[in-house]
Amino acid sequence: MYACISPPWFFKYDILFGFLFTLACFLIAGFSYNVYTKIKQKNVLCLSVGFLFMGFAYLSQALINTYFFLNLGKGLCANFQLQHITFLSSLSLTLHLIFMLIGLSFLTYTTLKSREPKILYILLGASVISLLLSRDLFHTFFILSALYFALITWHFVDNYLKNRQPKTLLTALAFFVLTLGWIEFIFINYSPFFYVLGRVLELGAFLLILWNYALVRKR
Amino acid sequence: MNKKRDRLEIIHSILKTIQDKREAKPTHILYKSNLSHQMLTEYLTELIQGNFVQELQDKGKKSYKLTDKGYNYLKDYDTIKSFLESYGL
Repeated sequence: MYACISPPWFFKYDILFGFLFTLACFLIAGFSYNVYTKIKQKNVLCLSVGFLFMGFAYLSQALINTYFFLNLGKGLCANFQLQHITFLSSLSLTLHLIFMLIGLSFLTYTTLKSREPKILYILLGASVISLLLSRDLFHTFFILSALYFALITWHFVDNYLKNRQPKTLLTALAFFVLTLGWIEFIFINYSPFFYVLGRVLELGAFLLILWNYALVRKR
Repeated sequence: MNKKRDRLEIIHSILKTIQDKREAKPTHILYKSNLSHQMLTEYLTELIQGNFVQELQDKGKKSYKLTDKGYNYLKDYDTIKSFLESYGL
């Protein structure tokens, strides 16, 4: 998917960004899991699972984009049949889409006050049904993800307003910027510029998440 | 907050009181942690068994001091608390 959406000049940066986002997600997932093993709080486990799946989403995208990038120099069309390329693009999209929606469903569930497992199933089910009923899979996926990010951001902004500290501000800002980034992705059909802008915003957001992680660990 | 977290906060309060005094007497811990005598005894027994706290006897009077494991717990607690606060959990 992104092999086609990302402008050629941006492609290698895109791959680097993908690996950085993967690293950031795995770092938070690992640390959350470590916290969970100490305090056995279920919402911490959900946060860990959410970031883990988001990490898988970015990793699958980055790996397949890397595969394309390494073979582009050798002449993609000469080496691969069109069918093969289409298969890899579809695989990349499908994995990215599934992992991201699972991750976002878990993160949204984490931010809700209710701990009813039914709500998590509803979130996952609603995501699947929306995609199945959609005519434009990409578009629906971006809208749905932006919606999830907006809900998560609402929780973090509320958390900041209740507890005004640099770390709560950083988390709220990071998810606000992520939401903006994913709103940009909704418009990628109009111009690849929106894709680049979205990815740059994502980069800013993950740097804020990493900054917050460093602040927490520094204590 | 759920029960688990409340429990963690109680344990933190006991350990912090002991850390602040280096060697704390049960009456001081009781006063600072705002627990009943029975509850404090249960928590202290658990902390001693878990090797977070060491019980000392001096002329028949008991006092408590932290072990390395107790100090590490307090260090981790601050990080965990900070992480949970940053994500509003």
